[in-house]
Amino acid sequence: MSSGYLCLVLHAHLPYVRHPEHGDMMEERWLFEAITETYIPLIECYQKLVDDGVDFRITMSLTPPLMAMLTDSLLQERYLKHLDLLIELSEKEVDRTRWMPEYHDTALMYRERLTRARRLFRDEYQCNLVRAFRKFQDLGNLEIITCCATHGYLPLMELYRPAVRAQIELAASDYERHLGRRPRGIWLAECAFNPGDDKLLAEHGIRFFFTDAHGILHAHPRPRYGVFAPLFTPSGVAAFGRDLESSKQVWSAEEGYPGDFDYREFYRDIGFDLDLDYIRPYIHESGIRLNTGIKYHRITARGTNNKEPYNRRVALAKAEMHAGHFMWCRERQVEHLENLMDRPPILVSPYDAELFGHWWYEGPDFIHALLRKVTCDSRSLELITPSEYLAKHPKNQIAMPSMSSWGHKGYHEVWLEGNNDWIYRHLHKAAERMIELADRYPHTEGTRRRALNQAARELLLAQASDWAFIMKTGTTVPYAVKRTKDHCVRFTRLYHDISADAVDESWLAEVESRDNIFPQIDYRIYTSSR
Amino acid sequence: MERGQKACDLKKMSRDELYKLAQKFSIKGRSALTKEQLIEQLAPFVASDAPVNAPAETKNSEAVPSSEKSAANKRFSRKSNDADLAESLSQARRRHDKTTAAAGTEDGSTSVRKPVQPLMTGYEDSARPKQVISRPIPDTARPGEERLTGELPLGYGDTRIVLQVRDPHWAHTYWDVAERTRQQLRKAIGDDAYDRALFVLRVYDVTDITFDGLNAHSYYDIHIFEGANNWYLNLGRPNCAFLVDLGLITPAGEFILIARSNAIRTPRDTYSETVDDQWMVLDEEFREIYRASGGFNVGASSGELRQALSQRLTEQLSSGALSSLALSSAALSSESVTSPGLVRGGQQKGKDFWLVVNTELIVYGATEPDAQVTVQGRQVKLRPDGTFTLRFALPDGHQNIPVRAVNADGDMERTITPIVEKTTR
Repeated sequence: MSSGYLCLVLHAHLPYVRHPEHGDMMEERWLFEAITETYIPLIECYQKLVDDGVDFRITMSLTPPLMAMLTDSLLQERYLKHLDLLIELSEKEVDRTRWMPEYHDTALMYRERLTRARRLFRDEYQCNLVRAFRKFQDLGNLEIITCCATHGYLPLMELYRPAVRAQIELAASDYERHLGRRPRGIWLAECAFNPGDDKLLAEHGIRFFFTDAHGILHAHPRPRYGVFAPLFTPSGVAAFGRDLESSKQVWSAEEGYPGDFDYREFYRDIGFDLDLDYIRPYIHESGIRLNTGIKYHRITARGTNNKEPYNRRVALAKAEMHAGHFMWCRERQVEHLENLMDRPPILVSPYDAELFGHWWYEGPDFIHALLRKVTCDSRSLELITPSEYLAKHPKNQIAMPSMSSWGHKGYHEVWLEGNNDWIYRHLHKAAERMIELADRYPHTEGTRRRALNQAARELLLAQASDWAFIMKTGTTVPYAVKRTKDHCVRFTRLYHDISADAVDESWLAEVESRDNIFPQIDYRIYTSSR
Repeated sequence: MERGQKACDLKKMSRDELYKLAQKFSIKGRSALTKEQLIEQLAPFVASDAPVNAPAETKNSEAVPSSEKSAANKRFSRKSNDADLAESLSQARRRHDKTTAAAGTEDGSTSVRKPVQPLMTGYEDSARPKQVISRPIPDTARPGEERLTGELPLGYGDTRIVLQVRDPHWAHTYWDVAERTRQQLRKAIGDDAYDRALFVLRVYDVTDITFDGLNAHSYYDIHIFEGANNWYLNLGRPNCAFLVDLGLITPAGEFILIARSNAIRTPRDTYSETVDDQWMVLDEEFREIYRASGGFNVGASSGELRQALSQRLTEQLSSGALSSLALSSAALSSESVTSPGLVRGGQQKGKDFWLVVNTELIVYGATEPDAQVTVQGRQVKLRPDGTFTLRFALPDGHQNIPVRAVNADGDMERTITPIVEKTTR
């Protein structure tokens, strides 16, 4: 009998970025880098564990925009092209570093990993990584949960319930389309919970979600077990609270593992370091330098540009050590909680999936070591998914979690502040008009139906919380502003054209071909009286 | 831009000329409008490619797609059926066009917020030919970029106020007051009183009551200037309900309601006082659980690093940087390119002078396309024409570089050995 559970949750998400109209759109590289550095390494990690007979458990959200991109043939094709170029570069790098033994092994590593990535992506999964994740779900090791349809920030949509409902309903149906069954759980975008939204989850068969620690801690009435057991909301959906201690060990800029001096440094990339003539084919087509992902240095003291060479072997040993440390800390935590609880505590540790691999290059190796160690070595800790926990512990306290998010300061400030508050009047107006349209046209066919569906897509894409987040954090702001405006402008035009029964078909076709998320969408999800 | 210029053309016209134009467009109430108001009313009708004095021939080709224009006309003609909708639509249109036209005029400066980043005019980089559609061909023509993007209106011609929670202590409110509402107010209280009236936000504590306008637990007023359109409210009371009225206080001290917001409830900022008797636990024990859960450290955990992560993920991978800083050297020294080596010095001129020199060696050659070539014993891939190129980073020291080729039959070979000595002083 174990004395506590560890529930690892990786939230995999990227905003919907797909620009058929441009040949080399930098933002599409967000996806490409995440595939190479995070998604494929995680899939390799799961595969290795399965091959070794390690019966691990992990929970992952795959958001609808991410699944849409991973299954989009244009992006798959572009990724493959991107990967082929990288492999070509890694081959040249093997030659180039021949007389520099301190870098040569790392060059060989890149060539080997990239070649392997290509084999996995193209040959094993036919360019469709959703298939890979589904495989591990079907094996019972991975529980995939959904997320708001376009990562919409629900508490700031509060006034338009049908819009909130649409984010949930579409998420569930999209999950089913890709994964062959209904989702049991959801990761609310930015972990943002608004009391009452649980009812919508219940209506769509979703049995659990997550909140930040204070969502549970400030629940009403008081939660007997703190964040160490889920609550049932009055509508019967379970809410799991984030364990802050385990989060901090990974997230914290000072104490966190990713800052260790043996790990790979992000800020030295050959895309910037090497001669332009040599690197030109692998950077942006305009000649602007950017990260290629090939980096040879390890994290060295801040502020200096003279970084030490990266040593993969040493880094992997450190990742293993950190996994051991993480497990040890959880075991101590569980021991301490034993005195306070009359049931095994569950420690819920959610992270952005892209942390592992992209930000923290050795992150997937850390996950691998952790899953293996806890499964095989730990006497007091057991890996678990939320569904399994609820099956084992069906009786839980009933309380309504408090409004909260996992953003800075714990509420909505990141998404509602001076740089991004201007978007809400437009998002709200569009939501209001979408509901009006759905009510006005309960039955319709042909071009008008297409236009109504497209209007719904434009609204959904505009609602992605990523845009407000980017405006706040201050990088690539023009892109986020443009995306917000474009989707709102396209929505407004559709609204007017539909109202006047004057939809311009060629214009509609163009917009459909660009903003092509949710092919199965039915605009009537916005009907107000359901 | 063209629309802006036409708006300028309107500005150059006399009021009489504008009036005649308004007559042609059947603008209602035109005789009462000032010159500025006439310009505002006429702006949406001014086409980018038609002379202003020939409105009958107006054909909107660019900024306002023709279908949308005809839609607008239809709406005007339907007005009697659907007066409200048409009114709000035309309001929205007018505002929309106003913002588009604002570029070349001096009006449109009613926005209070700092203006949002100017819209990028597409992502075309100068190296690539722009997509130009010279002549629309009905079935193959694709709409140009300009028809898929645009500016957002300042408002939608509604009179409304919306209140949103930000955190246990703060809320955000935004509002919009339709021009016709302003005029009604002006009429109702008189020009003089209106001009001297104060715009206020009246914030009510409506915790656990059904608000009827009079029964709030308490309220306070915030004076705003007439042009403001949003505000952050320091409510200071977690777990309470609030509602806001936007109104006018007349010189006589009377409060006139313009719009009332939705009600919100701020979240709790500590644990609930209510204990469920089924799940009862000693107070100190609960405190310990609360502490172990990180309860005294709420919200201080992960925000910063997540932000940094996201920055890292998106950093440098932005066409925004590309099209706004376009290909100039500015791109290389801008903050968005925080990179090692080559560009770092750009930010600290004179303070931190530096120099990096690296050397590389290129070995290239050619042989029969079907031959086998090794360099220092390692196989080299030949191009289809039998050429090959290798590029080595060249550290200090001595390198023997035997290049050996063996023909396809394996019975002939050639070896050439460049020898390189590199030293750095």
